[in-house]
Amino acid sequence: MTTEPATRTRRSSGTTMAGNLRAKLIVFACFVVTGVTLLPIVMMALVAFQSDGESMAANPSFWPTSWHPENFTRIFELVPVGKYLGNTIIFAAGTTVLETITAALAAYAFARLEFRGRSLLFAIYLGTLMIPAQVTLVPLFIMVSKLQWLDTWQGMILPHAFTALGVFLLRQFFMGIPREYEDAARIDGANRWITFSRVIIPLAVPAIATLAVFKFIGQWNNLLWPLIISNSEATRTIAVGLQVFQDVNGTQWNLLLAAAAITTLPLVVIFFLTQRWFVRGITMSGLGGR
Amino acid sequence: MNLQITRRSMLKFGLATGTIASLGTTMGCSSSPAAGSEASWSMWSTGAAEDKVWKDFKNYVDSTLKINSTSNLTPSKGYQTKFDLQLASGTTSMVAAVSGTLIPAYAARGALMPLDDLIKADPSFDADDFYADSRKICSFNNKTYALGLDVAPTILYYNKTLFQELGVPLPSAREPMTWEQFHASAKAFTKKTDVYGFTCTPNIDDLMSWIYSAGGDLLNSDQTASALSSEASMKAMTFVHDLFVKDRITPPITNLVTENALSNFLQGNVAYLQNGPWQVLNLRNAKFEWDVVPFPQGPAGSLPRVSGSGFAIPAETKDAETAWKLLKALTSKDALDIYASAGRNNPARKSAATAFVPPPANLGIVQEILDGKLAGGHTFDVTTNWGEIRQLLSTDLPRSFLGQISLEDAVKSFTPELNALIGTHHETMLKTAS
Amino acid sequence: MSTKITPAELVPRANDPATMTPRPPTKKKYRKENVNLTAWLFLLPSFLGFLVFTAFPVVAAAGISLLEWDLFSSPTFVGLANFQKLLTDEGFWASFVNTAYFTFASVPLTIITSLILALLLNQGFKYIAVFRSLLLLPYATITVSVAFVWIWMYIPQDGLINTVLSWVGISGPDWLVSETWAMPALIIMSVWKGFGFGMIIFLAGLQAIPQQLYEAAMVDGASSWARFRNVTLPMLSPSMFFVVVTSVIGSFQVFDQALIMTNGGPGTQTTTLVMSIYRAGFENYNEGYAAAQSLVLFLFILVITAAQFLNQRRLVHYDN
Repeated sequence: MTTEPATRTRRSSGTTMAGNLRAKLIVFACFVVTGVTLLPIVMMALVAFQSDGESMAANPSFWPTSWHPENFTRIFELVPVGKYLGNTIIFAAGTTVLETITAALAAYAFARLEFRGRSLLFAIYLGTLMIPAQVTLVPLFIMVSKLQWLDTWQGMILPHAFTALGVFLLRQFFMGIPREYEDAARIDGANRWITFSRVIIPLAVPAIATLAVFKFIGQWNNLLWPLIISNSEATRTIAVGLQVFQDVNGTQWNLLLAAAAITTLPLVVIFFLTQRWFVRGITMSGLGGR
Repeated sequence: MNLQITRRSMLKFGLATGTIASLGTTMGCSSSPAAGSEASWSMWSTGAAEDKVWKDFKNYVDSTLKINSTSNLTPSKGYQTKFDLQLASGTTSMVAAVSGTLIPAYAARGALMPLDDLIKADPSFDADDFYADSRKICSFNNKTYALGLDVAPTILYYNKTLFQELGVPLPSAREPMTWEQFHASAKAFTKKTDVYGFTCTPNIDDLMSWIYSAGGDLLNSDQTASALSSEASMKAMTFVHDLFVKDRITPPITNLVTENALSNFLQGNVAYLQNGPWQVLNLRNAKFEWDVVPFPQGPAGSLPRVSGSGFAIPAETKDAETAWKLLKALTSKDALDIYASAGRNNPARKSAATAFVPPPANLGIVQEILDGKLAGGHTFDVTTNWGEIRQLLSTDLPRSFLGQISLEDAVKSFTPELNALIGTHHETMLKTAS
Repeated sequence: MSTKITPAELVPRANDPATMTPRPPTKKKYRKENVNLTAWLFLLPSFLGFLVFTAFPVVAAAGISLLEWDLFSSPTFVGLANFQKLLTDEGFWASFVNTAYFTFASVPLTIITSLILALLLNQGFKYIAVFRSLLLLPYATITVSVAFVWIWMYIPQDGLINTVLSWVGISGPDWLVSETWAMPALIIMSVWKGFGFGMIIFLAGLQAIPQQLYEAAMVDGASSWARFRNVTLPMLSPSMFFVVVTSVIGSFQVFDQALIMTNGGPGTQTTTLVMSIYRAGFENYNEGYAAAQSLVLFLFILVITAAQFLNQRRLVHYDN
């Protein structure tokens, strides 16, 4: 699967030796780019091991003068991390699943069905992206409170599960899928639902996985909405829960950054484990000679 | 048939998504209902350790009032936005903590309930136990809108280790330094490279202590225009400005985020820090020895700003009686003892002050200052549009401390707009007084 | 290829179980009308939620722009007064210019970075998944925590960035407290924080390019640059279009990093539009004015987005 492009490279460069050299260069470039990019992250990780006083200083020497791995265990003592992680999974997965499903359906209509008012409706969808959340926060909060949804899962999840971003992203990908694939199925008598679920969806798996990933990351790190909607530990998310280390009078950076590591690592692990969904291969099977 | 299948399967799918959505709806119903009907109170939580303080508060309130109260804790950064949204939607807790700088803004807009009638009707309540400064902070237009949680003057922290290292005589805890003495003492540290004499945040909050001590003020006496360009105010601002720009006694400003001063001091190479006793907890992490002394005295005396916060009852409350009981319990001596003994800040009640104890050794000066027995202080007077004024004063003023423009030009550039904002404040005052 | 459904496609195959009953003679007309119904059935789940949770608050915000409202007392209708006030509000227009500067610098930089990294990571070798996951870290980390590491790196005297610059003989600027360099500092940080978004989308876009196109190009003897120019870029253009449009929209709404790293300073050099909107709403309690500002922002983004959509006919390749 992932080796396909490399094969292509080797073939094009003519000789295997040149291909190898090029592959080595690419690996080298990956190392350099990743190393430079991750420098701030490495610094974050180092500060997480510092003592309280050291990490709060104005210009911390990043290498800890003394190592305090217990910062990580302290967080678990101070904050119910397990409970908050569980809540965050409900919140992030809830919004992601809802948005991905509804956006895929709507995006198909926008990409492939020439219904009346399509352009206008799509423009309206897009238009809502252009109003900053800081302004819609007030009416949205009042609405959720009138529905008596404060401190509930539906109040947390639903307002963020129907954004235009998902529809727009999937529409773009659906439009890029060659029509022949679909037409072939339609000639075979498949209706719209069949072409959508059997042709478009399998072809769009990387796109759907992409939407799911950035929706999930966005909600995982969402600070404002869970903060104002959740009133109790029952619905508090990890991003909000760990904000307690950020104090207007002086932030305990070692704890905050250790907490950030605890928050971010699951995301990266999830992304790593779901890699195969981002890769073609499986999606192209079953389409025969097209 | 082709068509019917299309429609049927589509419907099926629509149903399925509908079910998912309604599942989401029913999932959350077990959580607690919106606050308001029960004895709930809102508080910011500025650290994981502070959560424990509020847990103890809740236990104390529950056992005294024989109720099961709900404490709604919000991280400090989002507290105000959340409180505003709750006010707008009528979903506030029964009692809510409010920072002193926001009490005039909320009171002027009718968001908080005046407490005077409740106080009058309650003979068991002793208002005099609250420090005079706290009572002033909690009132607006001669009406009481909150009961104090904490109150404290700005003080001067010093790095004892650094003083001893460089052989500079320690400042007195009894007699505030004059500005000249302070300047000389701070300047003595700059002989060594990478060591600095003083740090504060170059914003209006920290400057006010110097301005009050010089006999200046932010507003003129009838609250109609800015008094920042008055001779006394300018003298104070110039003094601090010179520490930054001319004498370079302060560490260079590396960013304009307000935590700067504390971080600078914790670095260990700064002699003095201007800050409030709410930083005692953070400084207990310092790797050096330190203590506190009264704020330096200027032409008008040692008059640092005294600030604090309190608990208030939102105006739309449905059960004022229970709210009053809850408010009293939250600000009782026993509750404030819990707060003070955790080292959070000096409590608003005199009777609870004994619970705010050293280290550092000189911490007792905080209460002496508030009692009027030592040095002095000046209540931090803010306007009904403080957020706006503070925002205006955080643009050009810090630029002058960076040396990008002169102090005079900065004051000249913001004064017209500042006067306009103070005018708006004055109108609000007139409107609310009538 | 035609977007219309050709009659030939509608002719069912004899062995298709779905078409055992003969079609009514009016099938063609019936079928055509049905596109609307089918489309709405697909749209419905998204549309209902969108209407309630996304569109309603936007419409409400538009309504609020006509009010004077401090969140607590009852609002008064003031017509277009908030918009009139905007015209002469120098602070607003200054933040407008700052935001435009931010957008026009950060969007191209972010997209180029995303694209280069996506192309690099689309190569096949053994541990590519590890690199992909690691490079997502900046995007996946909460802004508050990384912003402070950047504040440390930007410290003028002995911060990491100026230290590195001094090795090559450059004396670095004051970054976050410099009138000229505060905005570039925010832009650099934002590119670093945001490239992961475009990178994943481009990766998905690259994965969706049919392999046969490359094979066909190679049969024609196209060079690797020609293949990139004639296959990769056109096929990637729909996702490119998405990234450009959403990045522009997102950049015009930049808020978090500016608030945390500079608080809009020095002076008003890095005060952004949304910061100004947020302050109007939640610090000055002038909801109507905040909403009016956001509508002007909306109009501006709308014009830019519309221009992008008009240009996509020329620049974006869709298969239809």
